[in-house]
Formats: sequence, C-alpha cells, structure tokens
Amino acid sequence: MKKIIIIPFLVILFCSFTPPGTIKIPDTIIYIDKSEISNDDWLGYIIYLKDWRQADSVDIQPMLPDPRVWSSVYHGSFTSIASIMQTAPKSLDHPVVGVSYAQVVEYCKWRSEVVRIKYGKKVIYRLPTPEEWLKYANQIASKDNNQTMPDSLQAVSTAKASKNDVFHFADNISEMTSEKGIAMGNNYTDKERGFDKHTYTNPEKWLGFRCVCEVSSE
Amino acid sequence: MAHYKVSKSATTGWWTWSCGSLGGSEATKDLAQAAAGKACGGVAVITPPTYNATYGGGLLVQFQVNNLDNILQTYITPVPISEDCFDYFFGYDFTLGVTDFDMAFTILNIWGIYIGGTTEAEIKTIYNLTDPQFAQLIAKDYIDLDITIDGSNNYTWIFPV
Repeated sequence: MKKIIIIPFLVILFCSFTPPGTIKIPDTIIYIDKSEISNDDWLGYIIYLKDWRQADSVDIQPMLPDPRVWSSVYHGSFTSIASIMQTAPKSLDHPVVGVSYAQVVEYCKWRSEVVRIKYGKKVIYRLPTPEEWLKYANQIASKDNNQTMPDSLQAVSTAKASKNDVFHFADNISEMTSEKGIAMGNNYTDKERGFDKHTYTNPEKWLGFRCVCEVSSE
Repeated sequence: MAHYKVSKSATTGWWTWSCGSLGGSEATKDLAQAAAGKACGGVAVITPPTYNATYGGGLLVQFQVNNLDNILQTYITPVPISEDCFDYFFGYDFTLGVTDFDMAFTILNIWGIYIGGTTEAEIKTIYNLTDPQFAQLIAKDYIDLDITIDGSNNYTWIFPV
C-alpha cells in the first residue's frame, strides 16, 4: 500500500513596489526620483486638480510657476494649461522652475495621495533633507567634474534611459530640500558640476526639485 | 477636428489628457481616452512611450516598454525583433541587412501600434504614410511627432517641421 503524504507548505510572495518615477537607494527604505520634476509633471499636477468636470470651479493661479522666472528660461508662457502646450511644447521635458517652496510641498502631498489612490500603497513623497540629498547623491550619482557644465537647462532625462539611470544631481538645476532656503547640487549657472549647497529666498530660474519617497508597510 | 494628447505620467502613474484649456487624469488609458473624447471630441494624439533596457556584456539583451494599451511588453533579442533592429532603434551600429521595412516595423511594433503590413508598400498604405513621411519615420525624426488614430484605425501623421 502506498501512502501519499501531503505536506502543506507556505508560499511567501514578495511583491516589491517601486513608487513611480523613483529608484531605490541601496540599503535604505528610501526611494528617490531618477530626475528632476519636469514641466510636464507639473502640468499633470495642474491638470489633475483642474479636472475638466470641474474646470470652472478651480483656480489654478496658486499652482502656476512664477511667470517672470519661468519665462526668463523658457521661450513661452506657463500661465494656463493651454499656454505651455501652445507656446513652449519643447519645454515639457525640461525641469520646472519658478516654483516656490510652499508650492513644492503641496505638490509632494498631492503626489503621495494620487499614487496611493492609483496603486493602493501608502506612500509619502517629500523633499529630502540636505543631509539625505548629499548622502544619496554620493551613493547613486556621479559628479564627474571633467564633464562640461551645460550653460542652459537640459531635458530631465533621455529617451534612452535605462532602468537604473539617474539624472542631473550635479548639474541642470539646484534642488530644493526640506530645509526652506537650502538647495543642493550645482546648476547651469555654476561653472562646474558638483553637489554644492545653494541658498535662495524666492523662486529662481536655476531652482527646481525632486522628491524622495517612503513606502509604508501597511 | 480637435486633437487631444494622452500620456502616462512617469511620476504618478496616472494617465493625463489635455486639449486646449481642458484636461483631466484617469487611472487607465481607456478611461483617459474616453474622458478626452467626451470633453473634446476628435482623435487622440499618441505620445510614443519610454522604455527600460537591460544590457549584458555591452549588448542589449532585454527591453521593456508599456505599449499604448499600458501593457508591459518584454522583448528579448533576437526575437521577435532582431538584434540589428534593436540596434537600429537604439541608435547603435547595425548591419546593412536591416531594410526600410524592418525599420518601420520595429518602430511601430515597439510603440505598440503595429497592426499589419509585411512590405514597405503595405506599411505606407495601412498607416497612411507618404513617401516623405515614411522616410522621416525610419530616420527616427519623430521628436514632437503626433500620430492621430481615429475609431476606424485611420492614421494621420503630423511630423515636426
């Protein structure tokens, strides 16, 4: 007589979730945006909030970049959803500038919420502290000083990016941190690439941001 | 005829559409297209997708892209697209054995809008491509290209000037 013994076993599935737009910092629970937030990303933020079904009831003015700063960099205007599409479509893949610290903090909150809705994951996007930014930049990015610093803004990433590529920690724009007035990383107005600290008081043509993200285990 | 742009946000995963001063966001491409169609009428402007590539020993070994139906497709060389075709698409050196048809097929396939055509002439007919447009396509001169596709799979190409 044969006996068949069935041994129950437990299958554990590890499902990893990478928040959109980010890459994991090795040996941490933190994810960071691969590139700076672009004009297209910012436009998506405005479009989401000024949804067509309630278009007339939403005032987008508080969300728009400072028009003086923005137009000093990009040839066109970002004064409405239509304006940037019509006057500066080539700027969409370039970093958003002219945004204030307060606007950026609101953007991060919004992004956390819409990613949670879309993926059912509790995520918190926020600005990195200056110390975090520098630590992560040193971990995952290059500040190759032998490369020439471009003298104008570049697209936030390239179409041929591979999965693990990160962009522009050491050039393009300086990036806001959670400490208001402190930005990290060199920008196109600097002479050299690098991870230097910069200060600001208002929106600037060389100032943008990227987020870090934490994923809750809930 | 109104056009609307539909694209997937890399930073939130939502599908965003806009036409003129109107716009909206939806969780899926189909919902975004439906909303855009309802709000704007007209046809969609498709944004070619971005992709992830995996390299091994300096060679492209795997390629992943969300096609326009938001389905993640993985291509592993040499099939279904040959390594030479990959090399062509990615801008590497490729052999002269890659024909103009191969190039067009590769682009359309990777963009997820290949619906048929086994010769250059058939591709031009099916996709409504003029000779100059076909030449521009396979020259990969498609930054800011708009492709409009109506409900009957009629294609209109608006290449950058």
